[in-house]
Amino acid sequence: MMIRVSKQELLELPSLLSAMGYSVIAPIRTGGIVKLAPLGSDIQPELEYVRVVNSPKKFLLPDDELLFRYRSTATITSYGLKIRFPTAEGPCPVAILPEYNPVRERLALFGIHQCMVNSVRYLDTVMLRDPADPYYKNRRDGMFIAELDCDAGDEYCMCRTLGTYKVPAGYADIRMRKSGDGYLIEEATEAGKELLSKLKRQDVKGKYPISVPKMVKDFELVTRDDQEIDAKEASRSLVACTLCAACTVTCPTCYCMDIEDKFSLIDPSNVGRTRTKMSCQRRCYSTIAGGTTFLAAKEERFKWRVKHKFPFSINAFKLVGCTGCGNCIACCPAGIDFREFVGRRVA
Amino acid sequence: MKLAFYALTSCEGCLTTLITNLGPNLEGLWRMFDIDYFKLVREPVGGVRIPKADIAFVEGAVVTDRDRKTLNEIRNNSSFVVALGTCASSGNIAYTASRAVDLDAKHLRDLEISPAEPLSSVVAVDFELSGCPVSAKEFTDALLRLINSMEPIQPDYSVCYECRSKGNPCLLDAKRVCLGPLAMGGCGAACPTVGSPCYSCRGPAVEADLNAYLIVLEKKGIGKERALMMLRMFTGKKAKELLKDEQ
Repeated sequence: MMIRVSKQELLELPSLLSAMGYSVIAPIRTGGIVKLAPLGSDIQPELEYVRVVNSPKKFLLPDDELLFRYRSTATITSYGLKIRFPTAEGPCPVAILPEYNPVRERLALFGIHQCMVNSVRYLDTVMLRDPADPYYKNRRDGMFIAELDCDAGDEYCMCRTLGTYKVPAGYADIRMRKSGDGYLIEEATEAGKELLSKLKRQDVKGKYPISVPKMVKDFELVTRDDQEIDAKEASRSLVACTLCAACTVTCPTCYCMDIEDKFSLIDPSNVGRTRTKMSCQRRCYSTIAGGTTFLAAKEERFKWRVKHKFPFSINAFKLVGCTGCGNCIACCPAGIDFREFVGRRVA
Repeated sequence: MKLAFYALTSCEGCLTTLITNLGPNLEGLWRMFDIDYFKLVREPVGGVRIPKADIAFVEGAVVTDRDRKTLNEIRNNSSFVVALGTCASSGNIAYTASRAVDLDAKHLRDLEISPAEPLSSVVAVDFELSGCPVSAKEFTDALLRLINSMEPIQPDYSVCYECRSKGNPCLLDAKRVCLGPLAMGGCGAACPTVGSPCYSCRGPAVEADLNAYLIVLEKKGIGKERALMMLRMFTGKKAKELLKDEQ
């Protein structure tokens, strides 16, 4: 079922979603950029935008997340605090405290483009594979996605090449697109139907239109093989890479995480095991005991990132890890463009 | 376990930060450890001036002869010496400033001042905690790792890493000089988050690449003079290696 609404009516949707118990996250324009952020009652979501500098990843995989707490057999001696860690020999001296209570918060992503919906699909594929990640699953279950069609990308976009302008079935609850001076909304799931039933509706006959977004630069994919990527010359364009890792931080599908034990001086034996964000552009990503770093050169780290998006992901998940959103190029201080390594410019 | 906190020539801001920002952890610090010397809080009267300690945290740069003597004594009396803050780890503002004035002028010679140096130029330093002032959280993490016989870790990422993950607009895109790509992270991108450029107060990042950064500035159409001036301001001796090709 498809309906036509005015812009004013469309902007009522976030408050309807909060009334249904969702915490609404929407693109918000601030300081010259658009980013996804929790929507307050006095802020209007941005509907005319091309890119957001962050992505749903920020809310599905937080930068710093407590997994559980454990009580270590810490003793404070005259030499200070000694914490014994579980070892392979002998009984494990650690008791895992069942005090982790997940916060059940139902998220609603409002007005995200197709590339970002596809990034949720990719994260689902990775995180919900058997065994499913319980922390991710907890946030993902019952999540609402209101997708807003993007008609024209900027010079960094590549969704046309990768086909990620299409929204896979079951990922968007409602789809919205600008049409004339109003908006067309299509319900795609039961939750979407429930939301739209609350709206003053004007039914429209016909099929929800699917259009291919216009690209400023068009590419065709030529390299998918890891050996081919390895063989490419990259050092010249990477000379300006400052290893700031903005590419992986802003990427909607980079999911690499680190595990850290966090102590506090208040109760030193109560240790929090946390999951923190990690990036393949950081040195410690590939540093092992003794200090050897496998991915030492910039070129190796860059190629590793591209290989993870294409050959590694295709082999492991049968899904390209890149959604063509272009954040890694737009946010790179040096403007390093990975498209030249995997694709060829077409007129 | 005995801890000691000293301050050489500095603003004593790092120690003040520990007192004010440790919050409830401060009580734990006093409860769990023997602290014989904490500049600003507890200094021994008479007797041994520099007590024996397991871990000594030293703030400030080495400027006067007295600093030099004190630091040598600290090293002799402590098993592990941690440089606390950017003054102690790289010389900070004093490093460049003291080289810009004529120290042989009479009124300065009376004070036995020599060009400022980080601790590592005078004694062997076991670990360096950067920051102007130092971060209370990093101090706690380093201390708790040390007493668990683990090596403390310095952040291996630049300020951009945290700045970008906060979703801040890039100051370089606004044609403002920001040292984010060169600066050691760990501060949570405190300055760029409020729209003020990074001055690299924590010293250069582990893998700072000045050449790449200057190409970035050129691409953005920003002059490099201001960037180099900003880099010299806080990074002190650590920037020397980076800046050796730049005048």
